[in-house]
Amino acid sequence: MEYKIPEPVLRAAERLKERYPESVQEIRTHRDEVTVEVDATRVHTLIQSLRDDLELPFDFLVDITAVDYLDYDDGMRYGLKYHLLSMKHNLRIRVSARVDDPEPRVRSLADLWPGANWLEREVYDMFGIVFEGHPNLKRLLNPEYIQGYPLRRDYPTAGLGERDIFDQPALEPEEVLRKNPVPLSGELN
Amino acid sequence: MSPENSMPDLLLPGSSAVAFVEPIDDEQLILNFGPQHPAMHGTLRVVLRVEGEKIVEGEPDIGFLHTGFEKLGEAWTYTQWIVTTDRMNYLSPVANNLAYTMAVEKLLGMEVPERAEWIRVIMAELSRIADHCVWLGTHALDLGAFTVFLYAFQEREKIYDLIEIASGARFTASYTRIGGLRADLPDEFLPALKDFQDHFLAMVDDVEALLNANRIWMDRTQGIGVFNAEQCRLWGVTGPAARGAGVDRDIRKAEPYLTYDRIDFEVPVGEHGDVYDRYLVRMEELKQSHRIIDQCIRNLKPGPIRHPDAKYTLPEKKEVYGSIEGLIHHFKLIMEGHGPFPERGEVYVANETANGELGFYLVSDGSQRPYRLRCRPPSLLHYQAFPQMAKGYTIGDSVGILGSLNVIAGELDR
Repeated sequence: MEYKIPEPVLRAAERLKERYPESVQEIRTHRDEVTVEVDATRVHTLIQSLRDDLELPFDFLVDITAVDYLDYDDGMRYGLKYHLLSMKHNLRIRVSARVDDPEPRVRSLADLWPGANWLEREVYDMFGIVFEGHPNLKRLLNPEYIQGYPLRRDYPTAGLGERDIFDQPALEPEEVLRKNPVPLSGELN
Repeated sequence: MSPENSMPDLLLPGSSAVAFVEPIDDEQLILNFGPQHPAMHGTLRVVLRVEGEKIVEGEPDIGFLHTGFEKLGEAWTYTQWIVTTDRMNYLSPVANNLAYTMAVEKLLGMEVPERAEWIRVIMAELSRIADHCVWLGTHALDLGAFTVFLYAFQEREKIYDLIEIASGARFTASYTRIGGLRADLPDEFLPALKDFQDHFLAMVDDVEALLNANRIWMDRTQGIGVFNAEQCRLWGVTGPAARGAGVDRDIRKAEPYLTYDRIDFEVPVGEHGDVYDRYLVRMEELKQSHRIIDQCIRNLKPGPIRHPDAKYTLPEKKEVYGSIEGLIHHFKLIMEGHGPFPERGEVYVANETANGELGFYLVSDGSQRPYRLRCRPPSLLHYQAFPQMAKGYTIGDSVGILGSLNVIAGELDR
């Protein structure tokens, strides 16, 4: 199937690289999508620059999510993915930023888009990435007392036994695993 | 919110999930709304700070239906995860199947045959109608119009009968497969669909006659929950809720997929951004979906319904039982170690579902399981904006606002 890379998006990515040459690490394309790999310490500035671009403003925040690259490659462990959309031109772009253990953190976009609030809370809930400047950073989907970050690759798919200890105070993950060992992600089948 | 802020107060075990538990002064009351409440569609909870009847502030608490679909996506193969998509927006299940399958097909760079595309559009529009029927019924019921609930749910029953004819199950259809569909439409489907089409618009007309100029309906919905286009952009609101505010954007027109660029239809856009305009937008969408299905029925030609490369998609059942190649391919695809092996990469595919932009973000590491599977649900962004929309209105109005957003807990929590 033929996929065409939209030229205006590539040009917008190149303009961003011209403005911030040391922060934009790579411009990748796959199928008909453009991904800009950036330095995580400058994510806020670069995304604001994309939002305020004069020719192709990416004014709509579609999604913020993260990927745990523990089993994928040898770079930094977490990849934050910001999906942006230009409503007038109907073009999309993805901004990717890597952060690493032991304290993955990045600046929050909640001041640019109020909708980023819950999206970042979910990333914190699932991966443990801290968003600096976030007005209300706490768990979103999981109960507030659980330990660990479920979507990390080293968190077992079957959980740490939280359902069995609903009424008890949360145990340390190692204690729970010692009491009821569970198969790790991928071994279920 | 400066970058010099130190690490925010992380929630310790035992503390409450919501930000405020004490009223600020004697005039205010903290009211817990949900998660078990007839007007809270599904398991939604919001803690409201009210002064008399007026809502001053609200904080939603979600996660009651959180099942870990995205984590399961890493444990299961691409084809196995299709059944999970049924459970997300459970009112329009085939639309979710479709959005996910299209994302995997983009990851593989795979095209589907034309007949499959037309049938997928029929299923997507039927799902949209079903979702809107439930929205209509429950929204009207919340605001007191019980008759509309019965009319809308009767049409919904017919749609589920149609989906059952096509896929075998009413709700959890899992009708699409990577590269096409599960099976071709049985012979009974098209006559039943034409029968549905003949009687559907009468229901829409009846409901419009009951509600559009109804004094009570207009008082309870006009000027309520106003959210303008700029706020929709800031909060990530898409779909009928945004179109009610004047945002003229529908993915089916803006970034056409399947055969939508060959179909003649209109996208209704409102003006005021209140509950009434969102209602009008969805009612018009029902009529437009009806029009789309008519054109699909006319354009449907015989042909294959799965991608011809049997190494990626399950061969049709008659080949499995009739030829040795079909049998071997079927065996290899189902058993461990075989199946679609997309190349390394990431894709994001967005569909226009009944609620707005449903997106799937997939990362592949070259194996037969997704490395990361992310679903971007419209309900999450809408429910986040709900307290903003309800600020300054009464508790009774907030029920109408929530109904107009059509927040579905399965999609919200995953």
